[in-house]
Amino acid sequence: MNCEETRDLLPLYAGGEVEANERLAVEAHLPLCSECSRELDQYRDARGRLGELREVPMAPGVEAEIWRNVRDELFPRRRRVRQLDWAVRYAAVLVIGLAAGYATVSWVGGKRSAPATARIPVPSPVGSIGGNDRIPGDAGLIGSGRERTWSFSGEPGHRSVLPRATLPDGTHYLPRAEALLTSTEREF
Amino acid sequence: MPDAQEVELIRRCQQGREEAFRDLMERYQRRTYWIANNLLNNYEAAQDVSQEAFLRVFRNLSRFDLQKNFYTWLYQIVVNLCIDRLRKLSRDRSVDLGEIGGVADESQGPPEVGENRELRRRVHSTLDQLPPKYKAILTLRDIQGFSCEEIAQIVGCTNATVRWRLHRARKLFKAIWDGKALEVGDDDGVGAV
Repeated sequence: MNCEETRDLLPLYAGGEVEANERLAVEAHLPLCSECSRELDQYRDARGRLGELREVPMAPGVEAEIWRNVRDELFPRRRRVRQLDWAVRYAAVLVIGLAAGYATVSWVGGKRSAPATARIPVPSPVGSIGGNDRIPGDAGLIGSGRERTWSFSGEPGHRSVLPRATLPDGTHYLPRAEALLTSTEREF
Repeated sequence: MPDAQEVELIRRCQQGREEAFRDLMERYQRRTYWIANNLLNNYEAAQDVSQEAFLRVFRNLSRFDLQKNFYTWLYQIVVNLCIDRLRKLSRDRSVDLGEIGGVADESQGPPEVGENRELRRRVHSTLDQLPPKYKAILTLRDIQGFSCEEIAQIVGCTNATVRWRLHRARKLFKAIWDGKALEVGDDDGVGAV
């Protein structure tokens, strides 16, 4: 192979794109010709310089911006807003439900919290007897069938029920205050 | 042959899944940008072409044959978009094909140091003087390292044509680099890539 034929193959030989027989012919000529060897080096240098351009540094944010622009074009905002809208609605229902539940629990708990044994204003008794006393003028004890209930309203929302004793003449007695405050107190 | 994971990803993209397309873009975004920048020598133009390429990909994904390599199709779109831009630039500037050049805009890229910067500038300047189809071949082979078979798929020609254009492109590049007169023949003119 002469210089002219070799130089014609050098551009492809430098990149490894020659056929096997062409490669052998070039490699046989190169040791004999410094001109062709120098030209080969120049082609290889050019390829080397071009190879350095491969990875182009991207300025910060460019990748994200490319994606954002593509996304906004292909997946319109209103679809994303619609999805966000449903998410907000679900969240609102959840919050309202939790708030309602909490309010209910608080209200029910509040009703039960006041002890029935709290002292409440009681109107003046028409009499005062103890739980085990005898009714004046009567042989029976309070608890012997003469017991009746007497209810009254004290504080708003509260209703108390007390046992009472009623004589045949209509007179009735209520327990003494201390009789109310025993271990057998009822909750109202 | 494409790998199974990518085939599945493309299928999901074909179903219109945003997250799947995001993943697909992540795989190829950087190299797409590199190729575009190599060809156009302009960061902003490279960004525009990258975006446009992915938009076209998504809009035509239903027609994509899953048996083929996705990246050769994507890069074909990128190269064609770049060549269209270079030709338009040539017409707008009313310059000869042999003097086609991109708009070097280094202000948007990261800073480079002295000698490297000068060398890159000279390499880009030399590349910019090549006809678009030779510039494309040289970019794909000597810059991006694709094989001749891959380049044939990307540019849509035979292996033999790729080798011939590569031969011509390297000779032209060396001649310009050495400061010799550029000999652009009839068959070096604008034509299909």
